[in-house]
Amino acid sequence: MQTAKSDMDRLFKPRSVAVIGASRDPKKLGFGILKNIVDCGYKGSVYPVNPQADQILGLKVYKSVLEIPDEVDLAVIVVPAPAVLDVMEECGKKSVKYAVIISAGFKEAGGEGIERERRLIEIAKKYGIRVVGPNCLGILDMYTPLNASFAYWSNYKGGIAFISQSGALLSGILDWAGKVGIGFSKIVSLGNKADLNEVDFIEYLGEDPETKVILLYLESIADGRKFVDVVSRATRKKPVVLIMGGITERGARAALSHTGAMAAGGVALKAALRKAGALLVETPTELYDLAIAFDYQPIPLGSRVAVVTNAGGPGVITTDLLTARGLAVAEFAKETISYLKSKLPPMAAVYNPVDVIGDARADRYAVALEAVLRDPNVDGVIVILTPQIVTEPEETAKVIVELHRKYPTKPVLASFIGGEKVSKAIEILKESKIPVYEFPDRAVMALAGLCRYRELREYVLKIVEHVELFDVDRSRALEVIEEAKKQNRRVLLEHEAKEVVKSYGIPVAPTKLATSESEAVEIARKLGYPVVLKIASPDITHKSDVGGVLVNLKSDEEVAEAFRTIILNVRRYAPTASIHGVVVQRMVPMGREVIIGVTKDPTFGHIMMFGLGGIYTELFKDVSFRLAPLSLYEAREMITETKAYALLKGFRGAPPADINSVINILLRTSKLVTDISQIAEMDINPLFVYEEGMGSIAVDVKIVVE
Amino acid sequence: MAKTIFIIGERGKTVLIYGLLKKFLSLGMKAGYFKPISKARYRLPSMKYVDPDVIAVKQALNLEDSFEDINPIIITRNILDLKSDINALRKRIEDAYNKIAQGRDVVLVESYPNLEAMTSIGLALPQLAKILNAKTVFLLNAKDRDVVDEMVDKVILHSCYFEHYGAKIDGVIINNVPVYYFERVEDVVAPEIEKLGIKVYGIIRERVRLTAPTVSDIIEVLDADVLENKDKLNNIVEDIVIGAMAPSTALRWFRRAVNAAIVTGGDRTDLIVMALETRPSVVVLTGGLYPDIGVLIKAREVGTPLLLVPYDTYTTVEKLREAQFMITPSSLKAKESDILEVIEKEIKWKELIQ
Repeated sequence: MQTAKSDMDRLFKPRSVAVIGASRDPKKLGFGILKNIVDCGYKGSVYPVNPQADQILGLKVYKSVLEIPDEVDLAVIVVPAPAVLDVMEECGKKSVKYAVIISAGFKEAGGEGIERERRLIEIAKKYGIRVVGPNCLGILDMYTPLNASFAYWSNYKGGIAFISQSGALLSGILDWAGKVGIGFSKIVSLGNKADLNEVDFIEYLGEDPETKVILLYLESIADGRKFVDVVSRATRKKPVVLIMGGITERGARAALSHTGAMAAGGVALKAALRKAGALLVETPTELYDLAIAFDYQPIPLGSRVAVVTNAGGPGVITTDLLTARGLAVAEFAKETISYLKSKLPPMAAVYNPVDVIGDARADRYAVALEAVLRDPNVDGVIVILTPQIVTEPEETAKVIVELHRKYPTKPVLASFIGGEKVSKAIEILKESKIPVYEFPDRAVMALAGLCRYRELREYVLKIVEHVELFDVDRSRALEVIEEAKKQNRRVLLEHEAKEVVKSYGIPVAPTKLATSESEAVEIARKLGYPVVLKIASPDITHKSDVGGVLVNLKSDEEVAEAFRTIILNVRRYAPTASIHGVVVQRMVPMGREVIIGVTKDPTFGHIMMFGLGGIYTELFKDVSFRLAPLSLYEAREMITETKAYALLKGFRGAPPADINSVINILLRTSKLVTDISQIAEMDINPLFVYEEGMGSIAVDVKIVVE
Repeated sequence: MAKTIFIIGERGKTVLIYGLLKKFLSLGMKAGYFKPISKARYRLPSMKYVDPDVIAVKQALNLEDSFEDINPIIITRNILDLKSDINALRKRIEDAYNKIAQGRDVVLVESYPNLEAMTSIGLALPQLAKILNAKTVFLLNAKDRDVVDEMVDKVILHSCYFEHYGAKIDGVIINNVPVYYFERVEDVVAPEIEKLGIKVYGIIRERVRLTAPTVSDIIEVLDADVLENKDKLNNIVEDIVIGAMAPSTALRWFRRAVNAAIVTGGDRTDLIVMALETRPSVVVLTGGLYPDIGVLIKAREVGTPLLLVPYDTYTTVEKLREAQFMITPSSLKAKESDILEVIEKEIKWKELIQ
């Protein structure tokens, strides 16, 4: 992929732009886009292309892109869909570097549109043109400036980049942003993502000095693995905030009809975002509240928050909200408390929240705010103001701006609750990049987002290190899988599945397949009594439900009898199941039961699961999920965040179990599915965990391949 | 004179005959197929009744004989009434057989499934064997039995019946032997049958499936509309999976199935997309509910045929189950190499034509 930074600069900062399909008719997009480019103050050359016109907006019109005398960096294409392919051929011959295709009538329309999009990609590949869209709103760069879209232009420059799979959402936001004064750096409407997709843009924006925070609205993720990889690199430098459309079933349906793509399932998405270090928000309000906070304020060093207020109620509510959002209510240093006591009236509350009380003027806010900003136990501040008779909203706003300049490393967010009385003050705050919210809940949410980003950034660095495992036998595992596939099976039989995990160094209870009574007896003797017999059938997932498991068999006679019984039971309760025989397994001593599972998500790949095993798995749903491959840090965390951890640590005087062996097996499982990506599902259930130093044993293993 | 082999007995006759014919033809022999009597199950557009097995074998092997010659008698309703015409019937069978046998090295004859059929009118299986001067081979199905030793009793019963008419059973083929019976059949059952003076021409191991309908077969059975990928209807269908649960759970089932027909409601966009993701043989949408455009796009992308049927999911699955065992020209060809492998490795086909 050629997404070198300098190269994408030709898209956002082109030296010349051709508008193919430029129109004289002000009602048409072809006119609107050309006008947008001219009006936004774009400094490069603009070439309208239209075989039927001579001049539009005072610019010379070319019959074809091939007639343009200079090089063309960017072509914006607004011709009807059937003409796009020919236009693209011409762009190719002209060596155009980037094409933004506004035209609709491709994959999203179904039918012949699908074929048209395929051809479009072919042509783009042939000539090396990178394509945005089709079926998109366009792109904007506030710093170039360039408005190669049919959206309204907002004059505010800022640090927010927005990548959206919905064009119309963008145009609405842009108009609104102009009104409320939010500043963007770059805006991209993805459209059908035929060529360039979110990953390409995140990679570029992650390095873009004009961008401080990347916002994403996505309904589908083209390549989940790459997404996680690219986002996790971007989050080390700047926050990535995502709102995902189509997470619910109904939403997915709407999203599907919208852009012809699928939303990824909830669990996989959350596991992926955790690994990527992206912040997931649920509402557009959250998205912008956070974006503004990231653009305006520094990332706090901790989660201890001070609240300064002139009203008791809002102060109390804010304190509750802080706790609910996982933030800490800062405990002030002694010096701060005594200083506040000496400076504030006796009625004021000097512990957190600091209540400067109703008659506070700006000077009292200044005393309190400076005291908490100075305090080493405070990482961020929320200032609340309600207009009362003597309150000085504007002066207080100026005080906040002043003090933030003096202490620039601690984020300050404001909530000025009111209407007309505070409107001027709000303007002052906004102009000086102090995020201000109508109600404190939004301020808390935004501050929580800042703190969460710090955690995510640290987390992303913690999970970078991976343990390399060398004592694995990949070819043996593949051999077993290939054999099953040769027999036209996707489901591995138990002895096969155990052989696969064994080749990756995971201890298993010895298990062999018997196809007759005498063979079962022979194997049982070799393994040593007592043994367990289990039905070997790819069609049966719950073996004991069909009478397919008999345990604690102690003699040849019992084994022979059990073989017959199991076959009879399964023939009766699962008559259509194909039976490959019966597996004989040596009984192993009981241990504490846990489950290690893997499922392959169509978008993000393998998701690892850990939890309480055996019959409790489905009862308690006490499980943790992570995206493979696992780092040591993640493997440990997967265990500690479940209730199974209490059981393993030693519940009510029980000795601690061998947690390290579980971590080891988690890492080996992760390595297995990463090495052999055709594994679609896998379960080690139960895994018996013994006392510290005694290891663990996989008692049953299931594997399904693609 | 053509060597005539009369295959009687339980499930699997048509597939066995198809495999043997294919084998003999590949050796350059002239081999023919004859099914003297069949039950009417299918009506041609010409209003004539035909046995679908006959259509399947004739078309799969490109046999030039007419339907009337391959299958002269088709029972529609009554049989006792035929008693008065018995001589004419015999003549028809003989004439037809002679046409088939003409210039052929070997003719494989398929019988009615049950032993006693047509005894009342004087056309019992041993009588037919005598008319055709055929070597009779009895096909047994091991899978259908909880006590596999019973097969010996069955052989004795058939043998006695044939002897009653002065005919004999020459040998048996034991079909569909599950892995857990194999040792028993090979070490105990087969020797016991041979002690009766009856040859064992083959022991065929259970295979998941030796025939499989194609998507085109299914379209016919379901009378379905093809919404996407009309040019990709040759996929075989070996499994049926119903999509009714939450998508993440459904995925587990979809993934386990091989060459599956996945059946779900046309409005279950999430499930359909998930199903397509696992590349099944076909996705059948029920309830006459036309799907979302996104579904059509996805189907086109992955190349899986998408069918729409007016029935509810239950009815659809019932019909699909029927179709699974249907023998059609394409279902016979679907697993041809597997069938030939059975003939080659597990049937003493040379002894059969000696």
